[in-house]
Amino acid sequence: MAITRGIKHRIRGVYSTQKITRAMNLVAASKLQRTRNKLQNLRPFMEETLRVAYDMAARVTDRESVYIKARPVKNTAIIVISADRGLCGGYNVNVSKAASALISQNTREHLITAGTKARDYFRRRNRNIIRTYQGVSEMPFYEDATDIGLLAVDLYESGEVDEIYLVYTEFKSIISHTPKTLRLLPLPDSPENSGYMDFEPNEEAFLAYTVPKYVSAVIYGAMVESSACELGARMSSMDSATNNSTELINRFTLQYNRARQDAITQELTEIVGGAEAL
Amino acid sequence: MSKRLSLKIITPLRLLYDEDVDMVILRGADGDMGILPGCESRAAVLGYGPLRIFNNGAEENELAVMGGFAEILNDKVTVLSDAAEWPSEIDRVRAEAAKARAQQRILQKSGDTDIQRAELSLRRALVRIEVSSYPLIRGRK
Repeated sequence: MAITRGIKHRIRGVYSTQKITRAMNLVAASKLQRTRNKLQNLRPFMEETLRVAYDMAARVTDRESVYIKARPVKNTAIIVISADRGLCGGYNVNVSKAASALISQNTREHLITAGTKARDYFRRRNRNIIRTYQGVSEMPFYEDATDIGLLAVDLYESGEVDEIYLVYTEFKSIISHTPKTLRLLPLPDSPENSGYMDFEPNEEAFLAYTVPKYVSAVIYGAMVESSACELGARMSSMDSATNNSTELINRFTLQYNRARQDAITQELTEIVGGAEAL
Repeated sequence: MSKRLSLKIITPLRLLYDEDVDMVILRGADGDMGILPGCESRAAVLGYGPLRIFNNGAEENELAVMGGFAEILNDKVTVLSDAAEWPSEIDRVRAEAAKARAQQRILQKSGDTDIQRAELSLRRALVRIEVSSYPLIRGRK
């Protein structure tokens, strides 16, 4: 009966794993619901902030403004938004790879990571990480985004970096997420001025006030998008893990029954054989 | 009254307002500005203050806006703020308490950053108190 005991043990093991994956699936599903509501309320703000920022960038008369004029790029700041925990399919790897694509030979990268997974990814590759944030991926707060945003804008204003990129994952549906790269600064420079605009109190003060706000707002939006993706990815990967364990349990149960039958048949033959020998 | 403004007020938490209005008065960094249809394109930093909505020649509603910025372009007014509240959402008692607390902190003068934060929260409290009394005081100037 040694074989049947081994199989029984494995069935029990898979079963308890399945319990965990099912629970994780349910937890992710309910968190996702909340995050999706948040995202729905946030999207208009994100879209309008981007639109207004680009509108203004096109209308500012001072084309030499530090926020608009592209400088020769020597240092690039890359903000990567990933998850703190794994068990969510390819989510973390995809976003980290998208960020890696921005790193080139000619420029020095300055990485700001949100979530431990991106930090680990780049640390293993000996990349230059200047700041990391943890514990923000599932429940991002506006304050976290402001922290990251102000840090990045500071680096940009002081000339330590010449551009700021943001890499996050865009939420399309529960099963469809795509890593997205966005250049936050400098703002896109349009060749011709697209019209007059009166800036209050004045152009310079306006930009100095709005640009950090725009950067923080977009980072916050990206964090919420990413968090929805993380939860969606976790939900679907835990769902398939649960299905896989059901399959495993079925296969092991079959094996177990066969082994049990074999053992019984064996015993019977032995008894019959023994009786005949008498 | 054919031309109207399309006013949008958006915060990270929600879309507060998206309708056509006759006039809107914004609290800019340097003072109030009234926006009427046909206004030139402008972009403004907003201060802490009430945003007043006018329809049919009278003030229709008001809300407390805590900073942010506004864009006025082709009769579209877009207000992007970190936080904004309707009068009914403001807890008057809490705002009064916050005002008293902030005032006390300013009087005590304990460190620079604290003073800054206290001043901000005092300004927020004052705006909240002002806006929360709006439905009660009719016909203000």
